[in-house]
Amino acid sequence: MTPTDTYSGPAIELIEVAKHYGKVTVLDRVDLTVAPGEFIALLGPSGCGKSTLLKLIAGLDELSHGEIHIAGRLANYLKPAERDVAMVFQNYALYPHMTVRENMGFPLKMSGIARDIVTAKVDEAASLLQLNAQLDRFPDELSGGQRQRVALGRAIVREPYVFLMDEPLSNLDALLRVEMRAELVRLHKRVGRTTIYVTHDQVEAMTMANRIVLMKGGVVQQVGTPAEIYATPANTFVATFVGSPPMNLFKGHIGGAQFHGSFDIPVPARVTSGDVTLGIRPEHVEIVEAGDKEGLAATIDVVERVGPDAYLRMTTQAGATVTARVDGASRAREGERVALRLPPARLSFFDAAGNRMSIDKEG
Amino acid sequence: MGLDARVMPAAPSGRLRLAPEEHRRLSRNRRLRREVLGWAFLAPMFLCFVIFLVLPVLGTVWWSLRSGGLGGDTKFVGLKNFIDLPDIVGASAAVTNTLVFALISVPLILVGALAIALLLARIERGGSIYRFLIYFPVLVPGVVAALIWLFMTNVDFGLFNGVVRGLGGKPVVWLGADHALTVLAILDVWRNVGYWALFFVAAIIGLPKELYQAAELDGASAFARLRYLTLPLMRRIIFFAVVVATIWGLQVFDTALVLTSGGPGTATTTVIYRVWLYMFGATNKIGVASAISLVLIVTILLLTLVQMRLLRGRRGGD
Repeated sequence: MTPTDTYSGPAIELIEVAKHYGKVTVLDRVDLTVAPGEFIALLGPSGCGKSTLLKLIAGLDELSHGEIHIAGRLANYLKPAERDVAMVFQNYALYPHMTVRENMGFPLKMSGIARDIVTAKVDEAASLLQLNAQLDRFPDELSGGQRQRVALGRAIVREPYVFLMDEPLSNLDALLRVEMRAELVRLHKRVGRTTIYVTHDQVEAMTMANRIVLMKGGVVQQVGTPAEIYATPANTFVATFVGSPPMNLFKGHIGGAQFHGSFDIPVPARVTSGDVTLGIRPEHVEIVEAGDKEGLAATIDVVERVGPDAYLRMTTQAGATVTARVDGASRAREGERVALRLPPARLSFFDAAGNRMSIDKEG
Repeated sequence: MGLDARVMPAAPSGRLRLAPEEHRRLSRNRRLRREVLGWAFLAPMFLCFVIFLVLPVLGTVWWSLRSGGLGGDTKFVGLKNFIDLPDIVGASAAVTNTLVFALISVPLILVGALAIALLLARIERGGSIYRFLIYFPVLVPGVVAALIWLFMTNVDFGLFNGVVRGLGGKPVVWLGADHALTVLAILDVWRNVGYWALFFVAAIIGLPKELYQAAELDGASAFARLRYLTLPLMRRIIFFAVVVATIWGLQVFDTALVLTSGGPGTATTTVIYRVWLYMFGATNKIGVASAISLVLIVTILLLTLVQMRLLRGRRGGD
């Protein structure tokens, strides 16, 4: 029995985890608690520190400050192999001179497990991942998707407490990525282990994770379920990073329950006065006929048709650019004059520093 | 599968602006220009290859079939020089000395170089200083290296005996019949270990870091990572080093000449040294010298083939 068998607290706790390289701060006091069995996505642009955080959890890099607890044990001073974590690397990191069977069995061989048990476990993982026919092949004889599965298999055979995945799908083509995404979710449900998944692809994060940790410049911007992050972004960065096309943002100020900026519209009375950034998702922008009294006059500059949806890029009379998402069958034409309505209930407000302003309804 | 004009559908007449013959002529001209350019670039290398390698080897074959000395009258004797080889003066001693020399020096050079390389690859700061120090003996000409070692191995005031005396031992005659060949081999290790160490460092640094991170997570100890990753991944480079170091080892000459003059007696007379003696020494038999050289060339070729077979294995580390 391993120490993790009787433990029932959080799977992973990060307390003020920081990483500096000289004077450069790569991670700035990250706090995070991950429940057992949870699928967490670390999402953010390149250089935001998400892969560094993953390596710190794996023990492949030393942290400058803070504590990492895995299954209730302080992991700071444990070797990678002692942390009971398995990692899937971006470029798979398969041993090129070993067959698929040897690759998958390597961690078990290293822990001194008897050869027949290793064979049985590798066979089991291979059937789970449909790799039985490839067991005697070398990595360079496999397709990208198969290599990806071997890397997963090498992680699975160990039955680790935590899976760490560093952009594991980024080297696959678009179609295969969608397939593997679903396969990973199925696998997570079946294996049920805590998983931390690094990605810069918001679609991966939104579709796979129970919760998303959105990062920028080494700082956690928001932690929440995909729905929370999308509906109530914590700041303007989150509002524009998540969602495609991103949220429309307009700078201005509030006074007398009115937004004054490149256009003036009424806002809920609860919004406090002062400089603000007003935000609205493209799908919430309503297009009505030109001349509508309550609408903002605008001209359609570009119509981007992407199948089920169409994105309308428009300019208001005062020069503000607005994007709307409409039905793909819409007959909107470039150059057409329309009017826009921004429903008050759908508006988000961010203060001068870019942070979300709480209004009563949202608590 | 080549294109066959007979099964190709005929192009609608009048669509092509050039006649098929004209297309063939232009395409032939284009190929010819490319080939001429390619050969023009290769020509200087081929010229050097022929002048400095093919002609000397052919010359050696010609001389090996003749008796007499350099500069004197020679006559054709057929394969007599080869047939007499086993009985000529000092042949067996030279072969034994050369083999013993290579057996001591080559493994020590390669194992030592690999060990140094593994350490050098771990150094993050100031690595270039260590690399220079390790590589320095490589820059020293063989003759100078032998002179340095002549001083260090001197019975009365040499560094080696200084250490032996310091440890309370009796002075050793390093270049006596018992130790001279070993000292010569160690001198070769000193001269060449840095070269191969640097060679291996470059290879080790080039190995993918993620493989090592994965292995660390998989629970592989430092020794296991060396055994299961580094050595298999460097297999082909190590093979190359074994072949080349062996070839160099079998050709040792300059240090043997300066350090011990092949002695005492024939204790350090190597094959090439024997060739030199027959060629330019008192015996002056260029035919015998050429025959020995040819046998050495063929031996090295065969050895390389055998090593290639032995070390040819699984993929990885290309």
